[in-house]
Amino acid sequence: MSKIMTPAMEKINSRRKGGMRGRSTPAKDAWRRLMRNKMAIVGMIIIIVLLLMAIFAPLIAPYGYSDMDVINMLSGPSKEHWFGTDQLGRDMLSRCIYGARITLPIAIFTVALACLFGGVLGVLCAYFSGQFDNIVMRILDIWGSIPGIMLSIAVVAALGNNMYVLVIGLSVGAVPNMARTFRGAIFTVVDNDYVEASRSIGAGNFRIMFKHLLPNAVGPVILAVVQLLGVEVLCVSMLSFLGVGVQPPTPEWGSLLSTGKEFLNTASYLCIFPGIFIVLTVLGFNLLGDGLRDALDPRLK
Amino acid sequence: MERIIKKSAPVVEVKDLVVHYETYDGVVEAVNGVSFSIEPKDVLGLVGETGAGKTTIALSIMQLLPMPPSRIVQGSIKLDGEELILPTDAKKADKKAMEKKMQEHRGKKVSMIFQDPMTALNPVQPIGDQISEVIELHEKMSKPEAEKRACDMLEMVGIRAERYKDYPHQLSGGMKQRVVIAIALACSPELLIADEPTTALDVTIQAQVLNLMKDLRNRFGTAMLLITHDFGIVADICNKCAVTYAGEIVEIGSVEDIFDHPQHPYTIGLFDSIPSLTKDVKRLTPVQGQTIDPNDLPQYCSFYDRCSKCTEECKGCSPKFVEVRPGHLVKCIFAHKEGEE
Amino acid sequence: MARYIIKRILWIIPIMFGVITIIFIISSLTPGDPAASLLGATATQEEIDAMHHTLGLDQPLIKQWWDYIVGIVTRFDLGNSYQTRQPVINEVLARFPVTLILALLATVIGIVVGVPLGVLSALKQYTWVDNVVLVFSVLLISLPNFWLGMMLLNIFSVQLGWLPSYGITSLSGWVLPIMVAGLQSVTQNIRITRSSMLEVMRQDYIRTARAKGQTNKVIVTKHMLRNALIPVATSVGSGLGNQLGGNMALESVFSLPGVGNYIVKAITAVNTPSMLGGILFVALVFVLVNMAVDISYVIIDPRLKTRVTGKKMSKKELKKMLAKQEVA
Repeated sequence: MSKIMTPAMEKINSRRKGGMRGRSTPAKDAWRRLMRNKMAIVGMIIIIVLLLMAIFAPLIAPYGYSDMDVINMLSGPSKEHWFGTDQLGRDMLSRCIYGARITLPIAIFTVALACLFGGVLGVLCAYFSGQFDNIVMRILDIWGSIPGIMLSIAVVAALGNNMYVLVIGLSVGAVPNMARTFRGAIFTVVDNDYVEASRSIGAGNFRIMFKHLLPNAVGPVILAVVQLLGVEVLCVSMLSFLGVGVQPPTPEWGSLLSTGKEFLNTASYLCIFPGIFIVLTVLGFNLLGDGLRDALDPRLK
Repeated sequence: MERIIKKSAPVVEVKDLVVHYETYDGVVEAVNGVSFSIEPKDVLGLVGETGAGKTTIALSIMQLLPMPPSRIVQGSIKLDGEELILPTDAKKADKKAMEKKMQEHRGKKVSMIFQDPMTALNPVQPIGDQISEVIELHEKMSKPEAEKRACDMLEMVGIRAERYKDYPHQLSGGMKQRVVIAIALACSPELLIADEPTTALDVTIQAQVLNLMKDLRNRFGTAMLLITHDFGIVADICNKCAVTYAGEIVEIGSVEDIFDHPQHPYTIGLFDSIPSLTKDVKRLTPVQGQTIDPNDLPQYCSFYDRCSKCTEECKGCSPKFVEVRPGHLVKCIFAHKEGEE
Repeated sequence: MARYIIKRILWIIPIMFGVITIIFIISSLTPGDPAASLLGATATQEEIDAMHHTLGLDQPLIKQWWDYIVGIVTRFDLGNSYQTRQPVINEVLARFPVTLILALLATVIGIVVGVPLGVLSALKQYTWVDNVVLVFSVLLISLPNFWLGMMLLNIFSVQLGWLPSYGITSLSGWVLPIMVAGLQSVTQNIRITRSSMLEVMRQDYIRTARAKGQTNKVIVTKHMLRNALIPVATSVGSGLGNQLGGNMALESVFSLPGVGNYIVKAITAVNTPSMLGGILFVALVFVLVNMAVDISYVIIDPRLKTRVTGKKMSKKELKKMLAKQEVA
């Protein structure tokens, strides 16, 4: 047949390297769509920069986080102290940089714990269904009825006001949603015939759960993990602001905001910069999360 | 089956239609120069494998193609003599005016039955209201009158009128499809486009639906474009048939011509692959090869890779229609007129 | 339908029991002697022991748990504050209106501003309108609300002096807190409305509506919105719950006399009964809000409504409907 060349076709032909494109799997497709999403890339860059900042803090920060410059207490942004100093003369820029070393690990461990417990619960529920599922869902309903932040506060009050308990408390607040996400994702595939097929050739429950069901839950779970990371960074900073879990002088961003609050009238820069770090971190996760959600949606062309 | 003699002006006339889908990954040449016309009382069966562009043709007539990815590159579609396709440089105001006109035609002059009944109905609207909606749009009736007409339509498709206020999820797949048919026929359209209307249904319901459509054709003279991949349905209800491959019509003619004297290798292959009630064979003979990728069509005959009769000559040109008998066209260089060699 | 509603209301009882139990467990794990804290540093050992008895702390744990539940259910007894020695329930109730007003106003603003913006953004996908809305909404949802409050406080109160810096003695004290809480609600609603609309816009039944020759305006209002707003409604409902629970730090920043601030102060003062009492109160309100949301879900979504009521039109109703045409 005589082909009609349109401008669109010329553009595609010039872009193609000629010949057939490689075979694509759903994962490769999703990755390619993700890479095309500019906001998601910005998000990823932000997160990578922050992670690097946390890892290499001692090399990047101009001062130690508890070094006191007694002459320059409460001084505004200047050449020596880009973000100013606090009431004890500590350099705010360094404190903010080191802050990443507190917030990011707490958030990451919280999400990891929530995934572990929530994941186990969710998978078991979806796989065994029936009465087991009913009972566990009722328990999760009750568990999730207490607002997450409040539950975390209560747990920390009970078990001790330190960072490790904070992680436990925060993950306790996050488990119900995570369990539901895992459960929902697995439900979509547990009825599939290949599960029955696996069982008919003698695969045990454990094997089926790990090898066949879990990989299919990966998409929605990764999305939930990224979104939860953003949420948890906000929660960590809010709780530290309230004095729960992380105490001064640990330079957690929320904690910095709490001490900075006293100086809102006189030295507002103490509040501005830590907040900006929080916003950037959460923004990074949210951008990546949005991009992931669009990339994983099979109907979006 | 009677042969339809050429009568009055065609209800729809498609000429050299070319439609592309422009995606990031490539340009899909969905329809590549399709021409046909349908007269009143005609039932044209559009047959072909999935991906051959049949639904795109149907959506083009309805002007329901999603205009970002898809583009009508060239061609003409005339509905009752009225040209539907605007030139690509048409002004925005013209496009708006055309869309407004199409809104008047859709549901009234030409209506469509879509393939999947399960998702075709609004889940939060009672089925009766979905039918009365199209009536209120096009007929000058009061609301109670439209509702009465909708009840009549329900009865006509075999659903009790008490179910007027039911929601789609309360209906079975077959009943949903019948509601879709009721919506499509409520305003007695001149042309009914049915895109695989029975594929999602079981055989008994299929028979009911086809009988309904036959009844309508006889009673109202509705012309139909029936898209299907089932030759049995074509034999049952159609009087004309067009075989499509890779976005082109490779053979078109009356049903007798196509069934009794197929000439295109693809058509012959399709018929050969149908299991026979009378013969006893060890294996079925499918058409060899895979459907061609519409992203990557060649300059020569698209069927070349799968054709049993192809030669070097086929690679050098792009075949044109040969009229082997009056009204029977075949797109193959080996087609010969009846009586010739 | 009534049966379903009653069933749903009754389900609250086990949930409340569960929530109270969780708080009880946490409270028993909390270090510190309630008796000593209540009596103060000057108390003698006998006084402490006597208080132990009064509080029932010498009872087995199960009995304490049961008494706790009974106390809450019958007398709304959430214990007494360590600081003021007053019943926690009274202090919480006195502060609840402020928190409630803040949450309600924020939710209303969220609906009025957020939902239309979300719809607009979806309808104009790929244009600059959608891009701007997207960027702003993802930015705003990444802000900690208490930090935004501090920044606005800095600008409008400290620098410009337009608004008071704390409290709600005058009406203008409400402006900033409502703005911040409302902004959060608006952003949430924009995002969820937009994605719900985008989802609905792609559905087959929208194409069917077009094939009927329906106009764009009616398609948007009658077909798209009616479907897209269902998940939005549930999100708004749970958003109200989130407002009730999530504005603690915000209340603290603006020194608002609400339940959130009460809990915050109790944390700092290690005033366990006040803290846990406040948390329990908010949690129970949260449970009630969720129940109302669940019930409303059944009312607005016809698919659930029919599943629950199983009502079908009778022959009589059909005759009545057709008879209307005769009169017309």
